[in-house]
Amino acid sequence: MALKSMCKHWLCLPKSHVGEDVTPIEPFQQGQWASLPPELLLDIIQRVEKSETSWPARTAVVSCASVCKSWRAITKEIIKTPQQCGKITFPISLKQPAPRDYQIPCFIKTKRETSTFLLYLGLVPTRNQRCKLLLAARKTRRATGTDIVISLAADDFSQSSKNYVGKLTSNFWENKFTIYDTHSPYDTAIQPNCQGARFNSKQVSLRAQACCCLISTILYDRNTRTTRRPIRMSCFMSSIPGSAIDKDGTAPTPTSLPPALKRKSPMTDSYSNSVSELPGLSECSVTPLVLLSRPHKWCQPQQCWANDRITVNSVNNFQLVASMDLSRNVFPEEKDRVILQFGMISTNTFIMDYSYPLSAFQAFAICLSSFVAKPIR
Amino acid sequence: MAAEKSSIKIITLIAADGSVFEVEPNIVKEMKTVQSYIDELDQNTVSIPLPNVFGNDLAMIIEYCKKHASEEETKEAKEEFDFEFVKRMKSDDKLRLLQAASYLNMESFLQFMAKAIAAEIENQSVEFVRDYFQIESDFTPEEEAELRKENEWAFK
Repeated sequence: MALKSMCKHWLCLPKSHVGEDVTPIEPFQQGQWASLPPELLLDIIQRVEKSETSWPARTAVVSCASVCKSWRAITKEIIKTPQQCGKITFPISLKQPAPRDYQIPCFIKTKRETSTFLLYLGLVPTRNQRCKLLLAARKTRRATGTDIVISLAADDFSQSSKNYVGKLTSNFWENKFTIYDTHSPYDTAIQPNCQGARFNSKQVSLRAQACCCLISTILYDRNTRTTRRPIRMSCFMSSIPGSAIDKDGTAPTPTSLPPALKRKSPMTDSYSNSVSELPGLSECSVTPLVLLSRPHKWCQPQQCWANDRITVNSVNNFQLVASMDLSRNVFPEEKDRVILQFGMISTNTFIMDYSYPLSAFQAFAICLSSFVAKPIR
Repeated sequence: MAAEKSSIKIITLIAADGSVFEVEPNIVKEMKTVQSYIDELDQNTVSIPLPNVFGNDLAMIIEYCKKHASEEETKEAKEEFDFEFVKRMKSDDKLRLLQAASYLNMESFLQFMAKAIAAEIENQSVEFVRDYFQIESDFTPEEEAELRKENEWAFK
């Protein structure tokens, strides 16, 4: 049916080139490829998407999405969220939840000399193949705690930069952390869990003020800091409702990064915005999802808390599972499902496998907190 | 219906530039636009004007159809043919053939062409894709900035 309508569309095309009474379909005349009907373009881009499943080849899909408006619309239509396809394509994919039945494998490389942490997509670092850098973070110590800025680029940690995606701050004792996201997990105007910025305005850029949402609070059990027992922590995911893990539950999935315009909005505007978004967590009727740490199983032969992915014994190795309310209507397999696992594989390399309802950004921020809460010795 | 089809011995296709092609009925089976014409008419010989397809392109399409309709050819030979077929096409040819395939409503040839074009832009930058398809960006400077960010991230 679609093809039929296209044929009709074509019958008048030669005329439009001659410049007769047919009004051009496009607002301005492009090359002849611009007249390619969307159905055909859809087919072509679908093929590109299907064949380029891994990085760096997947850049072609990003290229397709940047050609012009119609190409972008079609590409965005084809590309599914990580939850649906298990693949990361655009920067926004980093803030969308992973699939339920599959952990997206990533690894973190730490660089002590620059206090930076780099998150890559992949099972383990490979020597001959360049891995996809997903996110980068840099730690800075303050008098009252530690800040970790999370960015899309490994060489740009400015909070006023376009690469800035969020941050993690600790309290003085480094046992309580808060994760801030530069934009609300919800696309709509209703932002029930969005909290206004409450930190020193001198350090915060206009953009950060435009929207800075508290998305999670992480608490570490102080007692474990002094012993050689695995760390214990709980994450209160204020941006994810507890019902997300139900059979038909959903986690918030933003579809686009905040528009560039926001950064340019006058200060007064953005300030009033952030104030209006102050309903506060306690007032929200939805209970947030709570994640609890669980040590890896003790491996007798290797004498460590590890599994097939994690090869080095470290007290920092942990797995996160959802705190279950017995009344919840969840799948039986959901009860024991590991949502995030983190562990050491070599001195400066750690694996981070995450799944629904966490996004890469949230999982990375949670893992980063463990570096600060318990320095690796 | 089968009886009607078998009554037609030869089909004449007239391209936009006036060149004439005489083909057997099994060749046009793929071309649903042509086939629907034939089904409506009940004659022994038909001549069908195709005002949206140029002679050169039609010749290539017929060549492709002949190869693929032949039962004697092996799968390998057809694949070899496809490979060579794509190799001798230029960017403009691909676009015209794709449009012709769409006009003629040829499902499998359309798929074949779409695949060939997709192969062309695999692993390429925006600049290449824009150049190849001769498309100018219609984004606002703000949108361009967002896209640049996306692209910078993708190519890291």
